[in-house]
Amino acid sequence: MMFANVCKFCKQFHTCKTSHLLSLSTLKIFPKHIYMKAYCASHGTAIQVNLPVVSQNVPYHPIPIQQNIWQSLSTYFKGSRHLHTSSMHEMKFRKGPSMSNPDEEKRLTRQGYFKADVRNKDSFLIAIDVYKEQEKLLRGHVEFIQAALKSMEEFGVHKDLEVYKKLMDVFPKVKMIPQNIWQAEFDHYPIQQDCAVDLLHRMETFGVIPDAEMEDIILMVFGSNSHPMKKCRRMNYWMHKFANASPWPLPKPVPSEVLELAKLAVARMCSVDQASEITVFDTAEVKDAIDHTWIVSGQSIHQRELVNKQPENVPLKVEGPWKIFLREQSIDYFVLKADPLPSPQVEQMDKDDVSLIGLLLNPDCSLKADTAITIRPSVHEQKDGTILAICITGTSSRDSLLSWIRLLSLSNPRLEEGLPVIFLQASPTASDEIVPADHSSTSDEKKLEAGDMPTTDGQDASSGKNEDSNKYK
Amino acid sequence: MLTSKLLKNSSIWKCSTICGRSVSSSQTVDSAKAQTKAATYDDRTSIQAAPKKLGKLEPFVKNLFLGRFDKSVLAYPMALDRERHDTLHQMVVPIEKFFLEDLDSAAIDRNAKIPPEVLQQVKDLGLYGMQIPVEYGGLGLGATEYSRLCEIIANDGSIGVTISAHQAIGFKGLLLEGSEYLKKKYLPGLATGELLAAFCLTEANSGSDAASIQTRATLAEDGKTWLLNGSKMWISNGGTADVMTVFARTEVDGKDKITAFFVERAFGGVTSGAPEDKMGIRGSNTAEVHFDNTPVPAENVIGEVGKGFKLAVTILNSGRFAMGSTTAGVLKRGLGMTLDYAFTRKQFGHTINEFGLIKQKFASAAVNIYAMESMAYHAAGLMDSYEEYDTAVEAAIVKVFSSNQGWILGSELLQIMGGLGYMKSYPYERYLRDGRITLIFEGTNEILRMFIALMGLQHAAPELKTLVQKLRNPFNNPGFVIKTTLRQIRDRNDRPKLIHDLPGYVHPSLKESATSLEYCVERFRFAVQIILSKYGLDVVKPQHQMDVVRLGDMAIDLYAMTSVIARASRAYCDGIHNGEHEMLLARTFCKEAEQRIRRLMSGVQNMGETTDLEYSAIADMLYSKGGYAAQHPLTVEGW
Repeated sequence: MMFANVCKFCKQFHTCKTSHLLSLSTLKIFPKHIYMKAYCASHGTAIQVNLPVVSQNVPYHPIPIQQNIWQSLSTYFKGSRHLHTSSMHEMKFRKGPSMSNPDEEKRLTRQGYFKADVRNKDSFLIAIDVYKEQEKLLRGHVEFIQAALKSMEEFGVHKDLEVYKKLMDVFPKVKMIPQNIWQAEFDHYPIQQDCAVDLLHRMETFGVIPDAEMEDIILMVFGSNSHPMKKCRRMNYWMHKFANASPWPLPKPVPSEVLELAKLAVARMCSVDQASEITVFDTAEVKDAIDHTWIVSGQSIHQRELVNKQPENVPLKVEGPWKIFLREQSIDYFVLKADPLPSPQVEQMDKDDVSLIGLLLNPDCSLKADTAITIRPSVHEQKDGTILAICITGTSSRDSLLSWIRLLSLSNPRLEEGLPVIFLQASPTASDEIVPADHSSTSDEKKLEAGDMPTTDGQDASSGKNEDSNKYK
Repeated sequence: MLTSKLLKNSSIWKCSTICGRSVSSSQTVDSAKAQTKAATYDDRTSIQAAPKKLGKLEPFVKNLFLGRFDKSVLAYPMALDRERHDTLHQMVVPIEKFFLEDLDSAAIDRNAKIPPEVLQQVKDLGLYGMQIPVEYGGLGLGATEYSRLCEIIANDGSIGVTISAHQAIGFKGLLLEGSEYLKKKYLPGLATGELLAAFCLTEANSGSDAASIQTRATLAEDGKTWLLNGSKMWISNGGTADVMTVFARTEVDGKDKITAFFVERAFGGVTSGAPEDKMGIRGSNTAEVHFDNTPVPAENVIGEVGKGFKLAVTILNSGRFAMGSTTAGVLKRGLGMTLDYAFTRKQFGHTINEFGLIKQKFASAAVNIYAMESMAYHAAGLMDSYEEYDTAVEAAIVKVFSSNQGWILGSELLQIMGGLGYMKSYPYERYLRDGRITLIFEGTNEILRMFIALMGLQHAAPELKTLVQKLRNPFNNPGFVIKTTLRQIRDRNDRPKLIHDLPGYVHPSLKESATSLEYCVERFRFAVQIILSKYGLDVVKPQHQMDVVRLGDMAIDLYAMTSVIARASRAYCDGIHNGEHEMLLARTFCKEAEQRIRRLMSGVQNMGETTDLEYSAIADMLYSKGGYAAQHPLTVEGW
């Protein structure tokens, strides 16, 4: 047996005996040839390694070593799904789904069913009903299903399990269940089986997970010893794992309301620190705010401590906007950042001097003391800077960011006391409508000095043309 | 051929059938059958909607005493169909909101009284009739759903106890054995909360030994009324209940036998004492109840006259399983609150959650909560999925494990809070106080541990009879001894042969844990043999309890391991969120459980390793001196 387990992070090859390998799930593809999925204990959550695993350390043979004539037959037999129903195999060894068949021209006749003007789920389902009504004997059902698969995206039903089930239900029942081992071994009704596997493959592509009912239908059509059934069960086993692999589960579907989306996004980004607090502000609370909108802000008490530690004269920066994706939806966010702190000077301690053990309880040199052991930098102190807070605003405008800083200063007294903040809104993704004037000066840095009055603009040489909207307070 | 072979051999298919994601996959296709029955799938969906209950469930833990392992329990039961599952989750939302947001539990605890308007809200949520069938106006919930709701209700100990005294024991007798007349008369009122029920069994001189009650019922001269005399003690809802299930001695064919009566307070002659002032669950009402010639109509007898003791035991056995989910619910909440604190509390420049000792506490809490939750819903699921079942031992196991761990873990979590946890201005100490009662009521843990051991032995004894006879008289049965020598040698040398193939029934990643479970099952079988051959009929004698109870403790861990493995395996096969984490919890629990079982086993096998005899001698000394017998350390002789 060959095992191929590679931890994505430590890039090491593990066998199933390795102690830090937490779990192995085997996917039996071939009795002599097993690909595996590996999770590494030392990196916490599940790490997904694509199947089959290819790694530098492990020689990977895409073609199994043939043991006998049967195996070689079934491997190279065109259209065989005996061993592989995976999409990887599809890519490597097959010319793609049979839809790209040269016979396609003939099959186009069935596409007439999907030429409705109104293209939605209802009309798609009606098309299937019409076909079933017209073709009592289900003639050309393979062509019909292929045509249907082709037009699913246009009808916007490509992520709808119900529709896939209805399509699978078009196949005639019972007739194609293999009755003996020879039929089971050599493709029984290969074109139909291929077509069903294509359908399942399409579901897999769009992340639609088959349910028990789908399994029932396949059971009635092809029986349990068939390729569609194998594919369906494998999908049922793996796809739930993939769907739930993310440590940040999202509601299905993702809320379309932007505020809800923003809360989810901020919560996701703040999950690095469990002590984070997520606050939803209303800019109406700020005196001179122009934009009346909401601000979702995330900051933990540890970040507040970091704000307090910032040196007096080095300005903080508001960076962004950057994008975060929640499934297909994206949203812009901003970061309040400080320059990276110099890495702490660690005075070398003699680790062999056991008399220093008293350190922990000795008031003079507790763990806090910089002399002996320094505190490990928090997760917010990264190499490119220290992240002090993040936010998403309703308008992504510079004014709303200014309001954010003012609202933050309520809980961060240092900001109130006059810690300078610079706005670096240089990215072209910023909304053109909100801050048109600033887009031209992409490299400009606008200073926000506490105590500056909005009327004065003489000191600001770099952005002389700018309206006073850049300078407040 | 290859395909069919693959499907048969592949452990994944085995798993997916076992974990039973779908009803259909288990009733696998027989193509011939399918052909004769050319139904479309639309017809079949209706069959899917109502999962049929399975037939009879062999008692699982009891069979472990014989070394038999029913592998079907390794498929974690899925008792709820989709519709019930969705209904339950909708039901949970308002109840959760009420208990977590609207309720002022601190005031209930302080004033030792639940305000009537709060109780009214609880009644409006339908919580007074959770298990009453729908036709009598209740919610008609199964054991699983009941457990889930109890998980939330437990957030306030006082209300939790009031409700469970009302329905888990108070009127359970009516549901189990009550006549149609009684059901029709009382259940609708009980379901809405118009009537509050209580369970009157305990007396001043009769606690765990329920058979020794002294309350007496005599048939009046008209032959249609019973006259009830006596007094009951520490009755939950005793001062507030409108109806009570009362157990009393009656004379049947010249013998004294216990009968159950359903007594209304309105019958007259019922008085109750002042509510007791308690350590925890202070809002719930606990009082003495006195009966003075209370007339009870003959139709208010529950079940048959003289069969009351069995009913009492059945009621208590059937109510215990919910304590697992109850405790788990509170602990999960406590764990969350403690975590929040640990993230913010900084000492020595680190938040305390970074410290290893704190991590250990949290992790051990998670592992044991996982175990108690798994067991509770496993037992409840078995009850829901079988027509006929005997889960008395499983229910007792759930109760003992969860109440015991609830106290230990609660105390550990409180420890993380430090001084804050000790303060009355925070709710943590209240949770701990409220939770302390769970070790005491519904059968004390000590009684239940013995109950588990003895029920199992009783079940196993008929089959082991000849075996034990021969083991106790080896010289009279040389042939038997020679025949079983190999197995005996293996057992004695701690190398049992593993014959159940348990790893084949769970996800391959749990192989290690399943093997460990199998090893423990074999050791347990040997332990039963040892105990039986050591003591024979004397196993029930009080002086052997220290040794015999080890069987109970081992059975607890065995059942916990089984349910934990089953749950984690299903979770991982299904691919639910954090399924990987569940596997880790399961593995950790099994490791610890195996260590405990090994230790217990060495005690059973070799008395020299235990301190049983010493404990016995020490206790005897204390008894003879009437207290602590060692001299004060400052005592000096010979000055």
